[in-house]
Amino acid sequence: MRTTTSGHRGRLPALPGLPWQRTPTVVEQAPEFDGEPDPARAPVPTQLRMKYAHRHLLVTPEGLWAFYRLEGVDWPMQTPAARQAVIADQTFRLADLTGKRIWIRGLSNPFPHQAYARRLYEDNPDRLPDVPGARTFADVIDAAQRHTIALDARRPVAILGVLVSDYVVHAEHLPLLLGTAPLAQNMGEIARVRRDLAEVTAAVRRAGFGAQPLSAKALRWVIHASVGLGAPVPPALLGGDPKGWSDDGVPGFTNPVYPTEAPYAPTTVLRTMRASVQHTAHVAVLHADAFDERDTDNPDLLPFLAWTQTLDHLVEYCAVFDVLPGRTLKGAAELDRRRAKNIAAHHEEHDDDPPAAVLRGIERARAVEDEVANGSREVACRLRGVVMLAVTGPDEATTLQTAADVSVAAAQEQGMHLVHDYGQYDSYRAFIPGEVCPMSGHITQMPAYFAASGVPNATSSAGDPTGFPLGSIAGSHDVFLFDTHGGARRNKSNLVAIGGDPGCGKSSTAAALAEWCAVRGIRTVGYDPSGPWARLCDLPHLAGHARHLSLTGGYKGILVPHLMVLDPRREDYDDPGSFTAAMEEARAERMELAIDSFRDLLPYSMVTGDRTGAIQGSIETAVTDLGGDYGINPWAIVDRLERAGDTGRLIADRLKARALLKDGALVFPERHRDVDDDPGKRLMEQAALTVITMEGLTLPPKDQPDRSLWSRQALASVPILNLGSRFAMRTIYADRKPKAVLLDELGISTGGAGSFSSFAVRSAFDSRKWNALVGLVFQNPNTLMALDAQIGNLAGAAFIGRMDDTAARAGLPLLRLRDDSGYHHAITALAPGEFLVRDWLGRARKVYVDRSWWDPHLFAALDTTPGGEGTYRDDDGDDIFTGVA
Amino acid sequence: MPTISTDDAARRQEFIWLGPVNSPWPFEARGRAWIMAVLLCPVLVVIAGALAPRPLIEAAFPGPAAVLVTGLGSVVIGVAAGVGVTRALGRLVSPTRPLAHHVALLGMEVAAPREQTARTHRLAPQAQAWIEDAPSNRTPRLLLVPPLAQDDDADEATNEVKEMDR
Repeated sequence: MRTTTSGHRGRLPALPGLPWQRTPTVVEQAPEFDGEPDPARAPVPTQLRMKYAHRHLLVTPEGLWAFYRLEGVDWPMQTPAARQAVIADQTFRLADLTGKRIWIRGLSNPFPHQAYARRLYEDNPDRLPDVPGARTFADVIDAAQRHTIALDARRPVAILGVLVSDYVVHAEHLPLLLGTAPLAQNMGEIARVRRDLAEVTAAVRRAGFGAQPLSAKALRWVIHASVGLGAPVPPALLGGDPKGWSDDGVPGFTNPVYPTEAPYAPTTVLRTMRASVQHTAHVAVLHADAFDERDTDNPDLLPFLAWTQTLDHLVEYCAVFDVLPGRTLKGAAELDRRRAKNIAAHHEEHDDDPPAAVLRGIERARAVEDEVANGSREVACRLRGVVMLAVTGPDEATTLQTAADVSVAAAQEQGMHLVHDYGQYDSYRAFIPGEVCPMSGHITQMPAYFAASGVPNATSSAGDPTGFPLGSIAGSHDVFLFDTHGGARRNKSNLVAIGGDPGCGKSSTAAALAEWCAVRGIRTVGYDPSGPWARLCDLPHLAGHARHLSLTGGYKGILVPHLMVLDPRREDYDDPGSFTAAMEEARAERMELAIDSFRDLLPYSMVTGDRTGAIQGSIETAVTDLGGDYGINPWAIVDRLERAGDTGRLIADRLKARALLKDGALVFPERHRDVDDDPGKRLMEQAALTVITMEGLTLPPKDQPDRSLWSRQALASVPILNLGSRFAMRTIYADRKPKAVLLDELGISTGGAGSFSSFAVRSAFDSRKWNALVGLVFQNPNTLMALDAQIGNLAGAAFIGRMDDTAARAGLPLLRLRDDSGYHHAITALAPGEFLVRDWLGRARKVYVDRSWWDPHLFAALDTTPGGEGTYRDDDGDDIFTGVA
Repeated sequence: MPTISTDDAARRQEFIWLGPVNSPWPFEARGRAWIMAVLLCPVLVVIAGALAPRPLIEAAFPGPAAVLVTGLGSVVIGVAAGVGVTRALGRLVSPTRPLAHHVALLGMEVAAPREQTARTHRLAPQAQAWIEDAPSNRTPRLLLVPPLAQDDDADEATNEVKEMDR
């Protein structure tokens, strides 16, 4: 017996020269080898069938293969029509490959932990300096890496191989197949193969497959991952880092694998060398023997190939088909029909009812004959071949149990009946590019549209290539990364709407995003009138970089309406016309804000009793007479009102009285003194994280939208809250560097309809232009919708947590989902911590926001659950039945 | 409710010969089982006849009766064996796993690398595999399978074993 020991540090080796290298990482245990391979036995090279490889081309004795990566197609939360369109596209693509043999392979690409960490580190050069004794930025990245490792995050990859020609091209001629230069006259066969290859490449590039030829490096990765099934595979970074391999380990073309199989054994044993560590895996290959009918309108039915990537177990698939034109099957289809009818007739001769399977066969044979004889090319096209699933495990018993579980799941969820046959070694080799697939049994024939419903490239992946690891995506093994400035990077709105019932985790998620921005050195403002976010300023790692600003204790005139909307800068506009328009827009918004604020400063009964509109009119006249220039003194408006008749004088008197109160004094500076904006600017620029609160203010009730039922103090806080949110928003205009402003719901729900509409539009556009994350936290989407019905279009991303049925329906537009899509049921069924998230690209996914990896101090600061996390138990604590069979 | 299905329901029909009209067999057998039995029985009858214990039969049934008994016995035994073999094999044969598949499986199982052999198999690409990343690079690089630590270890271990043997 020989035990292998290794100093290999597992899948998270330290990056040299980077700060997190000191962190201990996951240690991978080398398996017991039980004396195999016996040192006394000389290894016999068993070579793969591939002879030459050139970029995505592979030459085997069977001919020339070309390999492509299929582009992922969005599948979850799509409309039935969109899904049908995908299936239709893929049907056409398969029909385009008529006459070829195709090899479709599904693999799992591990999440590139190292590359992700490196990118985070390199993308944030302005991160906050480390605070002695507190968590460092490297610790954050390390925790994020550990989290993705713990999730076993991986992404599906679908590879398509096409046997382009049975002509065995010589290695020297392979580059000629990809060139365009004229070929010599004696190279007619090469010219024919080149033509075929160009046709295949053009066909698979079209909609549905969107396939791209594999790079040589990617093809190596596919071979590497296929030969060593069950062994760790480095991430391929197929769509990410252009440098290719990450530092997780660069393998050779493929390290040798030692396969063995006992006679008629249920598994093949693979002993694999990976980074000097030996791994033993038992591989069981299951064949799809039969498929039930599939209802393509069933929204819960996943594609039968992509479905394998959603299982808890690591399951890979391989489908090998000959794509046959319908006309060649006409005779066989007729024979099938006649045979089935003869069988039925024979039973009737004996006064026996034909078996139901025979009657179904007759019916199906008629349809097949009609399709192949009279159908269009796509309808007539048939695929004949095998579909195989490979499951792996550390030992035979585990593998067989996994195979049994997968078989049950396949039958139950997909109507796909799997069988476990012999000849496992040859079946395993079929998973390797270029190898021969045994086609003696388990042959299934299906129309192209049925095979297309397998949608091998359907993906649940969403989110960004880098960013905050939000949590795992439901229905996949992928992790959702949220780039806080991903919208601006894509030249779109960088406004994110975060909503949900109390306790669903929206506030803590928003605060965590604020903290994530702050530690990266991004100037961040959190506006939370009720105050819990202020605890962020006490986090040890933010010491000296965070400021808690209580506006109620601020100086007089800090919330002057005409200071809350800054003038646009000339250098930010290409032409004078657009700059002038922006100036006009800013003036108009200031006036709207001033009108809303002055109206709300008046007693509620006075405003609601204004049936003639005299009060509203007087305020509008006074404000518009003075204009919307930056820095207009509110006392000037009061003076104008005093000269505007009885109504104006009444309003002015009320406003002067309000200016004497604590909250009103924030809007009005000292009388006869100029407006001074510098203290406010300085307050915002002094810290990486500024949390603005309104302590001492009586806040409106969150669950009562009817203002007539609010207390007087709550009504009086409305304009202050609204102006406070504008005060926070001014940060985004400070410079062009990334910024983040997150606003709690109170600041939004109390905003006036007139000013909020322009505020939302400006936020959406300016968040892009000024590279700012603007987060709007709300409880009920109706609040937002009532203020601006276009908020769904203005938001670049959205997080929707658990809500009741009515609110959930209103939240669908934020997710860009149709009202009649039925996904409001998914929202009402969300558990605390779960969100339906629309990423910056418009893909909606169910994401569980996993807080387990958060910094304990952050977690404690944001935990608003009474008694702390985990105090609530669903069970009654009576464990009398525990363990009873 | 639009549903789609494979062609297998049409292609996997199996004929069951119930017997002549008005005289059905008391058993059911698939058409391919009949064919297999018809092909197998004559062979097994001949084999049974060849293996028959003729001295014993001639001792018990002297004269021409021995030939008759041998013949009848061979037929009975051959047919019975043919039916038995057909039934045994028939259980394994289905439209998705035809007889040829089992023959192919036998070949695969025979050729598969075994654990308990003098030599172990190492699955790897050919050492002469051409790898060329850039289209402009007309001279392909030769990529060799990197030497394994295990191979070195194996050599060392082999030497140790030899030393111990001495």
